[in-house]
Amino acid sequence: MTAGALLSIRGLKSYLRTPRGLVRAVDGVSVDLAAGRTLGLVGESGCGKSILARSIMGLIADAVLDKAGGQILFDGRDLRGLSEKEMRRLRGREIAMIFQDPMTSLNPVMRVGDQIGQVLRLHFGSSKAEAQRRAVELLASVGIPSPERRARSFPHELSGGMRQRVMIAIALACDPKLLIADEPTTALDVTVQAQILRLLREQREKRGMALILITHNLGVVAGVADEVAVMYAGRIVEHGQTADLLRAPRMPYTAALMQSAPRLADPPHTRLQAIQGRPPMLIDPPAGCRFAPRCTRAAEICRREPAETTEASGERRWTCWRPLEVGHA
Amino acid sequence: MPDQTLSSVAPQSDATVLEVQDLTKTFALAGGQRLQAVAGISFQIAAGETLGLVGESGCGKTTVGRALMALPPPSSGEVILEGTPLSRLSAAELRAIRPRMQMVFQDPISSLNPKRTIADIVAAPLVVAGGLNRRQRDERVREMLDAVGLDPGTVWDRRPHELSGGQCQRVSVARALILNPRLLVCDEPVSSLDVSVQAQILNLLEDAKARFGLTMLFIAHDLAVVKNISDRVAVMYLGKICEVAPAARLYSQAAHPYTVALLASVPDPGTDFGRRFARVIEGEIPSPLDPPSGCRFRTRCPKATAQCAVEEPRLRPAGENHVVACHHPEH
Amino acid sequence: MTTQAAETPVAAPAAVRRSRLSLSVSLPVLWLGAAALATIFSAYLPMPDPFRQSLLRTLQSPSPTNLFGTDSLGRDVLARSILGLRVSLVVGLGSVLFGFALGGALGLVSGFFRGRVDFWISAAMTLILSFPPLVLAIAIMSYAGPSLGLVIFTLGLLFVPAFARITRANTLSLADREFVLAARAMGMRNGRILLQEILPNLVAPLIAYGMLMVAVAIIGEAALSFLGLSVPPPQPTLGGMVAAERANLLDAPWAVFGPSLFLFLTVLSLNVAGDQLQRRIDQREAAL
Repeated sequence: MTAGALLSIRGLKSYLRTPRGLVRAVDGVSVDLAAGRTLGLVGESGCGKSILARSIMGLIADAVLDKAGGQILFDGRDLRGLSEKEMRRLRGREIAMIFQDPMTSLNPVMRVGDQIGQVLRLHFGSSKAEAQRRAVELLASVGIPSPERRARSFPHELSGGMRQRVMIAIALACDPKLLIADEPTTALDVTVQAQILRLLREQREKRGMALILITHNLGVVAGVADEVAVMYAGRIVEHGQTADLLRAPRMPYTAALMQSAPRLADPPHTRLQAIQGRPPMLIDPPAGCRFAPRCTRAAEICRREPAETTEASGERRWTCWRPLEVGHA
Repeated sequence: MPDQTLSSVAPQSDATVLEVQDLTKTFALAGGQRLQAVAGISFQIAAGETLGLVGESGCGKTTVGRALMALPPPSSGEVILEGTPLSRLSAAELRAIRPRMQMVFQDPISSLNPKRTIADIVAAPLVVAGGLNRRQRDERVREMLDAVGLDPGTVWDRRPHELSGGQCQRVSVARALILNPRLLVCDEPVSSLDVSVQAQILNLLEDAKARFGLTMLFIAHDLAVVKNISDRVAVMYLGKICEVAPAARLYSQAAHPYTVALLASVPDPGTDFGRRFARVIEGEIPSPLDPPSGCRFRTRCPKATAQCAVEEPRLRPAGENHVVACHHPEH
Repeated sequence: MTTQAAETPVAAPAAVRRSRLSLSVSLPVLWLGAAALATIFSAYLPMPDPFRQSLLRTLQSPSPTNLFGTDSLGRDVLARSILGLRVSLVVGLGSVLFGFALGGALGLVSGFFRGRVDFWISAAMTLILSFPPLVLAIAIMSYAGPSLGLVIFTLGLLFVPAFARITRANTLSLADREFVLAARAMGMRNGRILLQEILPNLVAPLIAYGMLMVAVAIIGEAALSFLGLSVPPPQPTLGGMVAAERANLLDAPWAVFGPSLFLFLTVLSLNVAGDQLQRRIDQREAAL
């Protein structure tokens, strides 16, 4: 499995030093991603999904990050062992990232064409004219109308959706092998969200890059991801092919997450299955399964010992002592 | 009008609690520009009904919610609460009627004063209204905290930052309901909460509505959330209402191309595998500073014709209890 | 065993940070506390009379009887520095409280009501700010004649615009918060909203800012007294002492060193403590 993977994360632990203590934000995560595939990373706020992404990119300051263990193998190299200089060469060129808020990710006093050109000049040493020409091409390829004119705009002159398209153009400028999109559509309206998701999917297919799509919205991953990993309290609790996992979740948390969100298909006033309580503090997580305190199926063993991961056919994995049965015969 | 006064004295089950007539709200911007955030909308909410108001950001839905609460008042048009037109009230009369309509806001943290204790926050409306002594107030606060699923003993002396977002939103609901309002306006009450907590709050609002006989205006951008809680749904686009229908009907037989596009954009975890995004509409909501002529949706509408640019469509019937403002509705 | 091993590094960084933080708070607080006590109870301290001149003992170097030496009139430098510090502290606190009260009230009103009130208040503040502060102070003092009350008033007046602006900015952002809307929605009157909802949220940032301003006021008073425009003699002031003894700087540096050291330590302590307080407030705001 590891052999063909572009990205292979093994037992990764990223702890954060905070005034209140060490937060075990990512606490033993293993996941593989093959070139050209899309992984949907799903979880609620504080589950560690963004810290996982920033760990891959090496974007957490050493003063804060405690690299408590594990490896991040990208194209055969362990990113945890690289120097900041080596990471800088990799960032933007081989791994690119886009964030939730396109306004704060763009430089407000620089024209968007120059911001795209800057990446090209940095990584390829392109001439100014060449970079400008490529910037306009990229703006056109992410669906921005009249790209020559738009290249001369400042970020505040663009709408939220347009800004996110500019961010995507910057991310794609160097043809990265892996694109990490952290909640790329959360700040956008639903019609614009659909446009951006379609764009991400088209670009991934066209360029054959791998994509990690981080979101709290199961509907978003359903439409775009090939496979899904569900995170809870710093760990991946379930992983599988998108349709397999969403049709028949085995980990009770995945099932509860699906049932707690209202769906368009349900009639009005359908009673929602809320999950009681809230996720644990990751400074002092529960000893056993971290979902056990909120789980309706929890037994004594769940509270006592961390659950083991079960592997099934079709690259299906879940970390649960008392998984749900598969519904169909 | 005499019959309106009568109905407010003796409310029947189908009495109108809130009526909004041709409400507009214009903001003066720096540089002399005028932004019309709400461009003349009318609707009614019957006693015990939940009306969902749905639309994308910038459509004016939040402005509607605040204008009808007179926070601040609308630029023109009338808001009639149980037969009382709010625009004719003096400042003191308006303050006196405010307890009858209360609001729950979007940001659970920002809507609670960080320096005050939970007990103080929930008791504040009682203090303002007056008439109860300290012990009676504490008793009411305890009842309300209980009713919204918080343990009074644990949260009493806490401050908002010591509570989770979901708990803060429960406190907001308790504060809004403590004076027994007739109308509860909820402005995106669950959009900043995690999915699992969102379900808790939606269930709480349903329970509170049944228990306290509330009438609700539920403002949100999430179509699935709105469908779940509403009896009837109004869809807004760029300051206007484009379609109103009973919830189940709107979602199965949408008549306005914008409603259709909105519904097609919502991703569904159960059915959308390998989605092709076939019915995604292009473009984004235009600036309200310079709205399109005629139908405001025509710049993004797949069915737009020359007529749409010159003639503004009026709301007209499209089935039982169903109105749509479109020259070329789906049915 | 394994859990213990894993938890050892957990506690370490937090504990280290706490002790470093507490040192940078406790030292300034210790100095300021000692300074306040010494100036209040100076009459009871076992020290030479700060006003007694002795022409036989002029410009004596530090000794067990005169720890900071004596000045050109044979008076004890330490005792006079403590009295001078009293003026500094009274002026520093008094002028900041004056600026805080007047500026805070104006800022609160203009940030909350906006519109025309805001326009006129802001215009008045701009007017004060457009005078060079020291020139304005010198003008007032030379016109009315120096006295303690006038020094406090003059420096306080100069602080009004700063406090008004910072209060106004904070009020503007607080007035947009939804808890203020909620207070309006329940029918609360404006006065009550200002006092109960907004004011408590302003106090912490203003106190931190106020501490920094006390330091500025003390330096301002020292500058005025150096120019002879503060509290008149025989009452010693730190700036006045430096001015009087600066001619003897080479022969008797202690006569200048004493008041300078007091001034330096007090201003440094106020700045460090104010900074730490500001940082804690920021941290708490960030945690919200």
